[in-house]
Amino acid sequence: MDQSGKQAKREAMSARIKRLHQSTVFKVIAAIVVLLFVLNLVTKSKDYSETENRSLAKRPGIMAGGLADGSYFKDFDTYYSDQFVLRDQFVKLKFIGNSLLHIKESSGVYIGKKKYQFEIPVTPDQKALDRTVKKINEFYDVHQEMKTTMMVVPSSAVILKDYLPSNAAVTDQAKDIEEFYDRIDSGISTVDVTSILEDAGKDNLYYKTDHHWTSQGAYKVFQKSAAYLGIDAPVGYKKYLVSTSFKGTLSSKSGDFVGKDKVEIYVPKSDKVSYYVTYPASQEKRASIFKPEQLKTKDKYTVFFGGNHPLVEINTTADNRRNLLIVKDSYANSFVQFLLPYYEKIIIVDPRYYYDNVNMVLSNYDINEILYLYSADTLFTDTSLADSLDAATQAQKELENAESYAEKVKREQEEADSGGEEEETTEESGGEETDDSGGDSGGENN
Amino acid sequence: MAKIKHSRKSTPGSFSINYADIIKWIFAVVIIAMIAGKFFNNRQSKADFDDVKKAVEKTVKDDKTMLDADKNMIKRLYGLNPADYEGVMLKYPSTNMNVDEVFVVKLKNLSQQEATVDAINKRLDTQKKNFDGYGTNQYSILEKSQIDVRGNYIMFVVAEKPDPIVKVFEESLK
Amino acid sequence: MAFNSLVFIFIFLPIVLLIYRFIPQIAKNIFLIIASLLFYAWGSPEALLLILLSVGFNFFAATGIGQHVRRHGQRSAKIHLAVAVIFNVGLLAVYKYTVLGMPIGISFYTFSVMSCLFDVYYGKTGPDMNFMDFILYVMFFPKIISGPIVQWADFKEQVRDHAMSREGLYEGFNLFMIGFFKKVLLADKLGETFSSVFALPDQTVGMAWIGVIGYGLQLYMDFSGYSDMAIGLAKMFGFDFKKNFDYPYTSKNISEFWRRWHISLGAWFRDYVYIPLGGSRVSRPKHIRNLMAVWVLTGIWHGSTLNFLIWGLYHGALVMLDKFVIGSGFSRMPDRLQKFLTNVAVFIGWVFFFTTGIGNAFRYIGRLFGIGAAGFWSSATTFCLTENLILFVVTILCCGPWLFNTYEKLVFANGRKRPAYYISIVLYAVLFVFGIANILGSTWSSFMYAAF
Repeated sequence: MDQSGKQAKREAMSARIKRLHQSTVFKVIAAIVVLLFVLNLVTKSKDYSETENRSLAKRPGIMAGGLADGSYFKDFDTYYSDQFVLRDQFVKLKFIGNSLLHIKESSGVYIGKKKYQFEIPVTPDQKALDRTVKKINEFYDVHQEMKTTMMVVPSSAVILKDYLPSNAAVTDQAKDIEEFYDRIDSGISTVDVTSILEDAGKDNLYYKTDHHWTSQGAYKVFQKSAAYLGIDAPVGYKKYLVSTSFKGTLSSKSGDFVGKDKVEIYVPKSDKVSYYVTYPASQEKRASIFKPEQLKTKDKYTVFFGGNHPLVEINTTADNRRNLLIVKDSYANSFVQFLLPYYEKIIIVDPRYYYDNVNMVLSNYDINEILYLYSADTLFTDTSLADSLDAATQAQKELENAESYAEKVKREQEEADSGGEEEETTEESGGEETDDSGGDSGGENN
Repeated sequence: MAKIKHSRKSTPGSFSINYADIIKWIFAVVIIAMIAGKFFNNRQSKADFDDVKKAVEKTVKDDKTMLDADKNMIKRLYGLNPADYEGVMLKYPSTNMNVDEVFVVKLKNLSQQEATVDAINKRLDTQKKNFDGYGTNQYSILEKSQIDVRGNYIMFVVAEKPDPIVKVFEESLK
Repeated sequence: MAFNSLVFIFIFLPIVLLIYRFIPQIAKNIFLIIASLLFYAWGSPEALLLILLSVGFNFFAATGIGQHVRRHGQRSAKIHLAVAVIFNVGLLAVYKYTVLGMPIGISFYTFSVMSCLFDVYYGKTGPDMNFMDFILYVMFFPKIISGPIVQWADFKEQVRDHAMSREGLYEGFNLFMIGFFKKVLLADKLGETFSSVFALPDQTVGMAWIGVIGYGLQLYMDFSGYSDMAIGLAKMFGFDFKKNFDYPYTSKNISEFWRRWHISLGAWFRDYVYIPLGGSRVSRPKHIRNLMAVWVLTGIWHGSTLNFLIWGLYHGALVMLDKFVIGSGFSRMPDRLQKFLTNVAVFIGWVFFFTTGIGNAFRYIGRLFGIGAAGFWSSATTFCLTENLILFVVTILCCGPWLFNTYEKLVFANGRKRPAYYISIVLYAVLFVFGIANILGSTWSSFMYAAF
């Protein structure tokens, strides 16, 4: 055979192999598709995803309305992907692929060294922050008699920056916290949490898979900040390990389930002071701030109080008339365990869920000390705190005005009695508005 | 690609219509009607929120069972943040035995429509669940409730006679 | 429904293929119509009403034009053609420029129906219109959502004769898979990392270039991937559609770029706007007018904002520069340099796609050249680069025929089943599984409720 003949033969063979290859690819992938299709048909639907911490969609019912506006089809798409067989494993595979491609960021979470994951710290919402500063100061103005302390905790990306993926960009949150401290009233004592954590080494200060600080990190901060809170002789604590398989919010957010954490709790060594906890919203009473049943759920950080509540009451047997109000986000949940022996009452309010007037809380519980404990990420974008403090400040001002009106009436009455000439007392309706001060403070505590 | 055929000589000034042309116009008219309908439903009112609020409040001023809601109450009952909207007004039942409620909102942009209507529906469902089996009178009033979506204005009203209130609302939007 | 959705891959496509294979020949086209209706309605039933009305309008418009052409010649049909075209364009404009949301695929099917009107008018096809053929032409699910824009004459030729063959099935499926990999494994991933580059403050020159390169690569992979899937699917049912992309980033000049990028759109404008206006066979001023018409229309077809119009004019200016000014001077440069400069021009053009507002567009272009940037490079820039590097390298390799040719040589050249043959099959399967993993991964959501 001559050259061109050989060439033609080779090309024909190539074409044949190519066709064979194409048919094999078709058959192999078709087999995978059929296999997964059948598996999807036969496996039962799941109600809840532990790893995603949400309920999974059920098969939508066929209704005329749903077909007409397209919601049936959207719901079916969601249902099919929610219930897809081996869903969690497939998602894990996606992240294996990501790390092969050296992709170190996913959904606002950096995948760092030593299996640490980091929430990307937020740049402050200047408008919201300005208002928060203003309202904190205004509230302090009408309650200067109360000892007020402010603690803002930086995000793990600030303290553990050596574990961030190389070159990852992080906003200077330490500076943001410093600037915030400068702007609030000098009468409020501020705790430099950032420096305390920076000096506390690196290990076990924050969770690897969750955006909270660990109990140990909170403890180190407590030890150094006790003086600011007026705690002169902190007691010793015993540490207990309550879980070794915590996979928290960051691994859920990123979808990357590398790494897991241990959860520890601290209990005061001396049992001189005992306490009980009340959750007014659910009318629950507990003998401990810890809820061990939460350790069986995915979000093990909720072993502290079971999560966030609008209002939590802790009454102790300490007879020192120190009644503390903590205004907070979820970071405080693992800090309260250290405060128990030193106060007669600890009242905890989360402004994101508490809709009644904080001023009522102050008077109902005879509060004389206030602690603000927030993570920087929450505080710098939050609007609920300012709203809550604003309503409380207004209520307090009205109270003060009302009192001075009552005093004025009393004074005029005395003058009228002692004087002789009848003086006109002008009657105005409602200096004191007890039925709707702040909207709906009376009655329903939620 | 076929060659462009040369056109045959046509009689000058010839303009004819065949049956196909007529049918196509029927389709065109239907399409235009459909689009006009969409525009009508989506038009935005230029009315000032305070004017609308005053008009609605006037209509219900004799209903003493309702209270004015503040920001926090709106958040609590509807899960909506008033800061996200041009204007929000809520009058809610003062006791657990009444259900009269009036909610008026002016959207900042139309994309909020779906989420807002969802929130209203959720509120209605919650109320219905609360009274299902207990207060048959309240439950039947809840069933009569109306949600009126007018582009950038939405109203939700629970009342013994919701129609006149809705009418005042719609009038005020002009 | 979309080609990269689980319901399409695991339910719709297998069932449609199976039923199509075994039903009698007369029923096949009707079945495809029904399947296409379901496919389209799955996305938005409301839009289905509109497209059916449009099909109705245009079917009778085309029939009418055909009747006029046949009975009284082309000129008598002119007014009817004009009116129908204006109605279609007006309808598209209403949806594009008002608050009404764009029904899915409207830009593509509007151009399809107009292709039919023109083809009948110019006599490229006979004047008879068959309703089943026409509705299948418009609604055919492989091309309804994102093209390619197949011309009526090309489709009509095949609509009665197309047949599913083993070869077509396998070849089409392979092409579908290639498109699937491009879209899910490259384009979507580039999109994820691209958006995080943008979120950063302190944009440096380096970041600006990483951003625009990432976008250009993503856009190409996304669009050409989807086109590959469309053409592959059509082939599985026996339809032969022309390719829509031909390695556009290997072009040596802008004119060549437009012969390689979104080919079906370029062909549409050439056949129905440029050539009827006289194309290049007219006086210079008219030639420029014709070019401007095409580029203005190209710009506004892609988007409804000013940015897209400017982008169209930008390319029009470059084409005219190429044709009238630089001409052969450019082609005397070394090939590599020509390709490099062409790509720089094209990628700068993409800035108008992803920025909103002319201000932002020009600010971004400024940053590409150091104006208004926070320095040339930074450690955050290095982070952006390392996040994207492997993706960039792999995608750039796919931008030219080199990778494909090497692959074919390795796997097929010998005519025997070498190890490379088996590795290739395994690779397809593995990439497919990764693709499914990525689709599932993107539906992942976690509720960050009160824990915050």
